[in-house]
Amino acid sequence: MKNLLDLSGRSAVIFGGTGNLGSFITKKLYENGAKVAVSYYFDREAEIAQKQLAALDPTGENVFAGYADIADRDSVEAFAADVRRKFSTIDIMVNTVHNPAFTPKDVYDMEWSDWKTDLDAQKGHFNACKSVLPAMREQQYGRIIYISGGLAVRHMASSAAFACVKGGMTAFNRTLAIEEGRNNITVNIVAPGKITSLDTDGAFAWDDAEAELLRQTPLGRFATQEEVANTVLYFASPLADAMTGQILYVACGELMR
Amino acid sequence: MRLLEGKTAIVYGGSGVLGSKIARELYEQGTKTAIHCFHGWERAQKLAEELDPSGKNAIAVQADCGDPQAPAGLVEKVRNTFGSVDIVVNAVHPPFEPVDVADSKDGDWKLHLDAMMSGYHIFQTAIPVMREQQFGRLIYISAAMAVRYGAGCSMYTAVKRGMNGFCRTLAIEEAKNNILVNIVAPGGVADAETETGEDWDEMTKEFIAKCALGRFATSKEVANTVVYFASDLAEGITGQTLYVSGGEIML
Repeated sequence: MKNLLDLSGRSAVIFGGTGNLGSFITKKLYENGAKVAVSYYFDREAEIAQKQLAALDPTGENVFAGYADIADRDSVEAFAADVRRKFSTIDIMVNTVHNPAFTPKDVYDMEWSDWKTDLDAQKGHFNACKSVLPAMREQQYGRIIYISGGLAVRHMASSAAFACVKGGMTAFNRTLAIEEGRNNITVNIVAPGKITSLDTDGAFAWDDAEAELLRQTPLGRFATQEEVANTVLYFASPLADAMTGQILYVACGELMR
Repeated sequence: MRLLEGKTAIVYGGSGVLGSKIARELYEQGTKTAIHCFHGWERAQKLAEELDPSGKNAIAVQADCGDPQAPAGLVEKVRNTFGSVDIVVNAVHPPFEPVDVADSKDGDWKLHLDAMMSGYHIFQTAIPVMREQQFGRLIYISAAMAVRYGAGCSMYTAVKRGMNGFCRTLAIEEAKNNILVNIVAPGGVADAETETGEDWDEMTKEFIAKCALGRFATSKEVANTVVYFASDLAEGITGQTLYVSGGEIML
């Protein structure tokens, strides 16, 4: 009986794989057989990455961590080249980078400079895709998975730039899905609503907003990071071979499109 | 590793081309499977025997789902046989002759409205047992035609689109009982007869040109999408639609 989630023999790059959500995704893909490479940006993440990967594979054979400034094309290319040298292929690319948590601000109070982190994230996805496409075309196999968010489709005050990027990246990813489909490279989107265990202080005073959002969520709970990782696993797995340009909202029913 | 070990399922319309593939995949992923048919008794029985010659874990069942008593009795029978009814898939929609609205008559709606009514009965009759279990996975096989249209298919499209709304409403209503309702919407499906693509006509080729992957999904891939929604991977997912179409539909 073939395991429909089996990723053995595949290698995965997880941009932002040391982050809160990224580390769950990394672990999930590794546990299902993939070799995993994570990128980090801040110095303090280097150590986190080493620990995280050593816990998965003490031999270090099937794991890799490297620095990448996702907004810098050369840096991303160098990281991807290192991954390819180590694993030969890049079969799966997951982009979880959209950091740091933005400071909520109404348009009225915004300046163009407030868009920087969001525009960097946008450029970052472009760079991330560019860095893996040559390998994927060569292999005639690729699974690109973009972590979007509920804000791509349902909006709230003070998040215009973030929403703009997430919404725009839906169009970007679908265009890419059309362009690369003939190369058996699929591009899909995982859009979490609010996630239970993500740290949200600093971004919003969730109290009231959270209670209201929870009220609008049919399952009466928010999804977990594990569930978001499971959705990434689905799109990466043979179960989803015919799926491209699709979005799954991991939102316990809060979002239905 | 099987993804649905220990689960139980009823596949309505399980004797059809797509339904039988879904029944097969669910069974192979560890599900005790009831293969429902209305007209296709021999096919359903043959499939059940092929999957499990012992007759214990795959059974054929017959019911006219236009009559609510029939699926209700079927749910009871499956629960008595398998111990639970965890997954219910509705793959019922009989083939139809396309007809333009200008040329159509009231009677042309019957087959489509019957399918809609059957869909209602199929899910409604599963709810009491699923509520009792505080576990249920309802999966509706919709179609790309719920969102992209073609001449002659007005009634079909109305039912598929309408049932998507029905399913999402049900998802909201039953979420608190851990009953998830999701939708699998296939585009063109490459079944056994058309797998090679050699005999495909111009219209089909045109459709394929619109598929990002340059091919249709296979019936097995449609079945795999059902497996996904039924599996633990999708525990936090309800009211969602996956278009299994090789990238033809992106919504």
